Amino acid sequence: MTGPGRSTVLVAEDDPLILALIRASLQPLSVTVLEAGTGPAALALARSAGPDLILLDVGLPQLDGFEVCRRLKADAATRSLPVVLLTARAQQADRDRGAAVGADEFVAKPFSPAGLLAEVRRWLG
Amino acid sequence: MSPRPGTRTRWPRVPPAWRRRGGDAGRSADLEHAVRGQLTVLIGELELVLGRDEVPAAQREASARRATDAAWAIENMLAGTAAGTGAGPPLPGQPSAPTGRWRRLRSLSLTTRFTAVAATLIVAIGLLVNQVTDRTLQDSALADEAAFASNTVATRLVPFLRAADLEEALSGPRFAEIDRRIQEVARDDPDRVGIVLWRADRTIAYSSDSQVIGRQAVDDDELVAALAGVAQRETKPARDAEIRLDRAGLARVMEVYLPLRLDGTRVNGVFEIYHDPTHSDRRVAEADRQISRVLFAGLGILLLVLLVVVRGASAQLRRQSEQLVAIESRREADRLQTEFVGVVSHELRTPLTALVGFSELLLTRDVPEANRRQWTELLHSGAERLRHLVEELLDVTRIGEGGMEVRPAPMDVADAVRDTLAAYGPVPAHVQLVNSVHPGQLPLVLADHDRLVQILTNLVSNAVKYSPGGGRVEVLARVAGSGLRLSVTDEGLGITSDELPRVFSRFHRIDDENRRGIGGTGLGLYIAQQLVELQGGTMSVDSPGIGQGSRFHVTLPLQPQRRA
Repeated sequence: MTGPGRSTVLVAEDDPLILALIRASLQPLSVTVLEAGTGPAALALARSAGPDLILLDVGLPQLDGFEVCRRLKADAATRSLPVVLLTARAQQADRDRGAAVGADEFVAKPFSPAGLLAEVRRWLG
Repeated sequence: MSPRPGTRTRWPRVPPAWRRRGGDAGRSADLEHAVRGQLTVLIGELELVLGRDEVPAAQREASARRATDAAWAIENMLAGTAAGTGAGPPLPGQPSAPTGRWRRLRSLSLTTRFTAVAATLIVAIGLLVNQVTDRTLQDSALADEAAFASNTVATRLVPFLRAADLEEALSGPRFAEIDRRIQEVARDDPDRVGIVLWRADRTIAYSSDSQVIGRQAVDDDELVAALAGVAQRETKPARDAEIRLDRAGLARVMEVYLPLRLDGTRVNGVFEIYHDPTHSDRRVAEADRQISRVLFAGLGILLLVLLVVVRGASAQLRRQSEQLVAIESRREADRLQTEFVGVVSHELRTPLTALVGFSELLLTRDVPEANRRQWTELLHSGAERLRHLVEELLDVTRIGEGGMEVRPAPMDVADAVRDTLAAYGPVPAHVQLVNSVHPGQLPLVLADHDRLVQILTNLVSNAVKYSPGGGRVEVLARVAGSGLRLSVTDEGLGITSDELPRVFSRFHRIDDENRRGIGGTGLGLYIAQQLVELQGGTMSVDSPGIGQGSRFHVTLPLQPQRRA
């Protein structure tokens, strides 16, 4: 965990454009943003940095977001980390799959920066 | 009469119209037309024979011959006596490839093929039966004649003719006995028989039938020869016979002239035995005709049944296969469409997210100037991606409709490579983009500059995209044969040999763990390959294997003149 007053958000997203948008969206929060471009990187960073929130894209290379989430929730060390799944597919099947692997919330693309900001705020309390 | 290979070459097997028209479709239509024409002849001839009660043998033969010819013509057309099969000399205007026969066969409807085969069979069987019965008839007639002439007449009659001369033999009380014997012989014979005794002066001395005693023979060579001591035998049509048998329906007369030596040495006259082998033949012939009629009718019915069955079956098969194909293609189309919609919606949503997101940020937040510029650039980048996606979709549509235009002109590929890399956005730090194509060092190619830039952009973009672990992405060029080969190589994920043949397929994306999350519509390589081919070039790919990178090659035709 990071020091008091400054939360850490892990953004696991491979698309630089979306990554930049998430960064910009979270700008008012003064949080520390950690970035991971692949599934394994996201897993490693989640384990090592212990972020307060994970924004996890489902379409990550090498290991997709569902699998990363499943592994995080299966691991006692990372089980408590809230995971918000980001997906381009706003289909019920994806929600079901996300719920099955233990995702805490679900944000569909295209998303509103304000909506995302509110969601992140809610999780960071 | 039986079909024999030698007759094949006599028939016009390739209709002129067929030779003139080009293309398989025209050829198969012409072939089908020609086959149908011959089938009409064949069936017409068969009906001609079947439809009449009394078909003269000559006409029956002619009809059968024409039917056989038609059947052979059909067989030849179907088989095409493709050169190399050894069935006949190659035909003008016909492809010599051995596959030609099958392609043409397949090009005919099932019904036509079956009709031709069935009709050929009918004719062949009919003719075979005809030939066998013909020979049987001939043989039996000859045997009858021989037995009758040599045994019956000689052994039964001659002893009663013992006399000094014919006049003596036929006069007085002996005549009644001889006449009775002769009539007995004639009656006993299964054939209709007549017996005439000729005098040495070629007049009739005796007749078992209604011949005029004393009538003089005219120009009867056989009689003359027999009088000279040489036995004669002759078969002639009844109308040409010297002796007219007063019986209805006589078709042929077999005449035997036996020199009559009453004293055992001198020829006193001629014993002419004539009979009507067609009388007994006719019974066989009638049976034969009945058999033929039944056979032809039976086979005709069989043919009709076959036609109906085959037509029904083929229609059903066609319907079923059409349904299957329709279902399959609909399934495949549905699958591709679902996949495509999924991919496109994913690809659309990403830039759309950027557009919606950044525009919202710019509109709703009080943004510092530095951020404003950066976000506007990102907004623009999202819009560009969206434009690119729309362009790709439009390209695919244009290619599908044949509306894609390319304008090849002499150019140095180095220019296209330079423009591609100059316009290419920033590459990830771990990727090293290398241009090894230098201006003025290679022969000019004939290509469309803008399209080549589009192709190279796609290849470089793929190389970068599929090198998540970084590495060298290089653009190279060299002369290869009559073309120039541009290659884009990377050290990225690589492609398995299973996947290599499919990478240029529309909407195809390699689905493996490593590639998940790497965006793409599965259209880029398809479009690139189509564009290369439109410019007269070829595209290929090779990869040493997973994790060992890929090499995409574009070979373009050289401009005829080399740069000085």
